Amino acid sequence: MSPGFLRILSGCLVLISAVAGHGREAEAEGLHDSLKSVEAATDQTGLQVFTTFATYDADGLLKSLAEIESRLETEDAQPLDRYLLAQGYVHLLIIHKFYDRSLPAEMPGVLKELKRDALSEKGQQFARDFAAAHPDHSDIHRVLGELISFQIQGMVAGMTKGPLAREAVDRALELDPKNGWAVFSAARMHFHNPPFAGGDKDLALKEFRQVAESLDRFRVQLYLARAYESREMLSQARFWAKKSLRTAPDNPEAKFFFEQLNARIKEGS
Amino acid sequence: MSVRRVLVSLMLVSAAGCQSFEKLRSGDATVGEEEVHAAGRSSDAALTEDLHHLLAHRESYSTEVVVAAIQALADRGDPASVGHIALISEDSSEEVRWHVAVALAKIGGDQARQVLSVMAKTDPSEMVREEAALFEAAR
Repeated sequence: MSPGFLRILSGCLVLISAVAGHGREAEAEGLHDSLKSVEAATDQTGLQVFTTFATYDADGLLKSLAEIESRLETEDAQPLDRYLLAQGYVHLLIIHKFYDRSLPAEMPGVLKELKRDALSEKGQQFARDFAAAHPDHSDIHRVLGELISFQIQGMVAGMTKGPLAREAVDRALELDPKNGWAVFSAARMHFHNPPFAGGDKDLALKEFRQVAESLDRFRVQLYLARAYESREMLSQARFWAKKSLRTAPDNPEAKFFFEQLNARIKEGS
Repeated sequence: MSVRRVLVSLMLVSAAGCQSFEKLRSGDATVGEEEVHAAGRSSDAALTEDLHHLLAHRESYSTEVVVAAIQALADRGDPASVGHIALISEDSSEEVRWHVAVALAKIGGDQARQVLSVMAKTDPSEMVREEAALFEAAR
């Protein structure tokens, strides 16, 4: 057997065992929003990592990331800066992926030359540096898992990167089962993965609902809308899409999804 | 409509035809939202009563199951359901009340219009008030 084949095989086994052992959704009631503590602790520049994300302002987000990065080795550096940078790269990847897949003609100029793989690697470096200094910090492992998941494009990448992403999210959940974003990340994997790789849309729906009860965030609400749409429960999908738009009224992805969904409902009526 | 969506819809309709709706029929509070949702697509007339029974015992069920029941009744479109749905128009959950507004607008009729008119003016949630007002605006 070739080493490449063995690597893929072991990747599959890790993925299957990780998914099989994932029965902790029932444990994690009353979740908390791990990002709220970062928002509360950071300064105006750090806050922009979140405010720019609500509107998918890639230009503003890149500027705030550059500013935080430039202060890393100075006396202005803040304790959570690397965590914030890693989360900022998650935001950047979400924005990039949305425009790339749904509205390529409207892709912001600043994102056109950027490659998702390179953005993910850069974000992972900040996450790993922060995790090395704070190994018991649950959410940095979740962030790392999310960053790795953006490198999954196609079956082969899924077999190699999938288990790594899963491992990081599992570590986050191990350290803090009530970390709402870690439960959300597990739900994303259940939602996106094919059944043979642990995908389970019913489970994902339950997990997204559980997260939405505690986290009033447009990204969670939008995923819940998507999960309902995938189950053909369109009225429920519309409710959650509308909720996400109320939470982030100028978010292009929430607007896009809501319009597409309304067109579907109209088409079916 | 994409081929995938058509296939998913066909699967759901055929699944509704084969389902026993055991938990819904027996009033089991652990019934899942998918089973309740599927009742909306079933031709079994007796299920309407089971859905009414579920709404009458709202406190025993989770929000998502109640929402699925409201939606299932809206899909079945029986005007006799309006009164049963209207009973929970002041539910504490915004999600439930929003779906009450959607369902009443879908079923229609004078009684539904009266309830919607009240909801459009008095519901504590702007999102629910907006949804209830859509019916009047569309007339």
